[in-house]
Amino acid sequence: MKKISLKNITKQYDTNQEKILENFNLDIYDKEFIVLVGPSGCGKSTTLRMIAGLESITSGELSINEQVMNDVPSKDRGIAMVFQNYALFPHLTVFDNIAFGLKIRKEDKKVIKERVEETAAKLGLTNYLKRKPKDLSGGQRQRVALGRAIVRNTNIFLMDEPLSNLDAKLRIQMREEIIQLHNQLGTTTVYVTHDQTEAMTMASRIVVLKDGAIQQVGTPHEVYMHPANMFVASFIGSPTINFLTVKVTSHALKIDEQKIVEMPLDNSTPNEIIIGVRPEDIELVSEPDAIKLTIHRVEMMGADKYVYGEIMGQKLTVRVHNELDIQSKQHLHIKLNPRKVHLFEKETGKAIETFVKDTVVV
Amino acid sequence: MQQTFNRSKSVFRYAFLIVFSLMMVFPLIWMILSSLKTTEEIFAVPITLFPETLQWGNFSGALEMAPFWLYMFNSAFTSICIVILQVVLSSMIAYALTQLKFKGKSLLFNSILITYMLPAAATYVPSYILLSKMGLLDSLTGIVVSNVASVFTIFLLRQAFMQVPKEMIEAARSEGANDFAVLTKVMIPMCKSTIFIAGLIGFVSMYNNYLWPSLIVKSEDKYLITVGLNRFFTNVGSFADTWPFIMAANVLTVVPLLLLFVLLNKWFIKGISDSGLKG
Repeated sequence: MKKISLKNITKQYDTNQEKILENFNLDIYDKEFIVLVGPSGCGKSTTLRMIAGLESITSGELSINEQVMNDVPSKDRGIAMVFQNYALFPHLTVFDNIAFGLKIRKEDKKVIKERVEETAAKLGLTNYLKRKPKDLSGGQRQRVALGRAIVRNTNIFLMDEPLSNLDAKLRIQMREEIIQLHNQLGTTTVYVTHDQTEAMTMASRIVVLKDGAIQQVGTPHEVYMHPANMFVASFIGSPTINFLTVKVTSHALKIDEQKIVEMPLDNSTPNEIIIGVRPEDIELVSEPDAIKLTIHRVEMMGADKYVYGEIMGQKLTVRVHNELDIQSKQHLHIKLNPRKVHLFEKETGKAIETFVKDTVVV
Repeated sequence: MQQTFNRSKSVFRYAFLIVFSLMMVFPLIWMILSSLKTTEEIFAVPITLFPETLQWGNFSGALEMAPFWLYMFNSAFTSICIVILQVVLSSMIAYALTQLKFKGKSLLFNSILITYMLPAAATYVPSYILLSKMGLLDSLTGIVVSNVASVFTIFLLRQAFMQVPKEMIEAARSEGANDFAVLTKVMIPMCKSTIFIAGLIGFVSMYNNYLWPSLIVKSEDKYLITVGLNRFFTNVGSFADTWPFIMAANVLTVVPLLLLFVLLNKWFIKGISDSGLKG
């Protein structure tokens, strides 16, 4: 069932100004965990705020539960929102913060008490109900904000970078808790983040945005394995994918006459294309005639080492196992696996789809 | 070298502050001391600072000569009413000015500010005519009604409301709050220190208000303390022998404000430094 549907949504603050969002189309289904991800200013928060009713829609149609919601005030949209800086009311206790929405709706006092206590128990906040937000840690505050969303039993959660104010460790823990809550409550969640790791780990579907336009919609697996363009390829995955400009010949891709990877391509392929290779997809080999990588810098990451270097004047990052001793070396020999190479048009940055499929055969 | 320079600089600074503080506070001290002196002591040459015996009788004497308790009650009562109405009305206007979108909003705000620039005396004649048409001359209601709008309070609350993070209001809205709920459940509680300060400053300025009330109130039982004090001063004449009583009456008038300040001086200072304005 379609839960939220955005049809040709456009957002423009001023008629003379640039459009923040243009012809945005997205259908969100029941119980999905949709993550809108993109760099700052890409329109992801604006989209969320339009769904929430905190931002007006310039043109297009927004429906929630198959009902057009363009002009319905926020309070009547049946959504609950969680904000980046928690937006807890500093003058209210944890109990009153969670109960805020219920009190506004004039629910029965007994019911409020029951529901708040039940929610607090779910989030491990039972012992903190009498405290004020200022006496809580960041993680606890975020839980209160979640509690305020959960307590009303709405089935759409909108979350605007809810974890970005937390430290790294807590972020991973809260990530887990949010996913659990999502599964437990069976809500539809729209989650905004600029962090691709959050997107990859939490989403059932990822929507990658740039400059107010959707770049790709797909499962984490899809956007990682088959990025629709160079932007998606570079945005998803860490460390960032390598791009190499290569010449196309009948059987192989070359840089300066040196063969980079064997790949039979048909004649319609442009002469020069860009290939994307993920640092984790590069093999180290010992054959001396393989591609020579000049090492500039090595970063120890724990389980892995990132090797930053260049091949024939083009930068390349390789992820290797941490036990490999490369500190003393100046060169490495590498090999690219044709099945793991992504091809992009040089002018548009679009993925060259047909060849991605063809190369799988090789 | 640098240190001695800094030190002499701070010595100079403190000396300067002490001298000027004394100059500011001296009239008050002189008034309090004089209220406990005899006439001879007040006019003694050379000046004596402390009375030989404390003349507490001056206070009862003053209270016998005019109903100062009534005047003080009138003042306190109208001031409290005015402050409550000012805060209620101003917070509503400040909410509209900060949260609502409507045509002519900045025009409205600017015209409110412009009235602040007008000398108060310029509005006396039209206000007087309005009050008389409403039949509110010579009444406490008239004093209250003519003072309920305060540009200062509106401005102060607008500044405070602008400080409330946008997310708080958005959170409240998505939780189901309408404008009234946002104002009463979020804005006002979050700005209560500013509102308190606005009320305090409003109370003090209303309690001290003299000229306008003196124009509209004629009957003695409706005198405010400021008006009453002045009439007392002019009625008994500034003859030497009434000076201790005048001083005692003044002290009585000032005591509530001093008490207020002693109890709440933290808030007064916060109010002045927060708003960047002098009250």
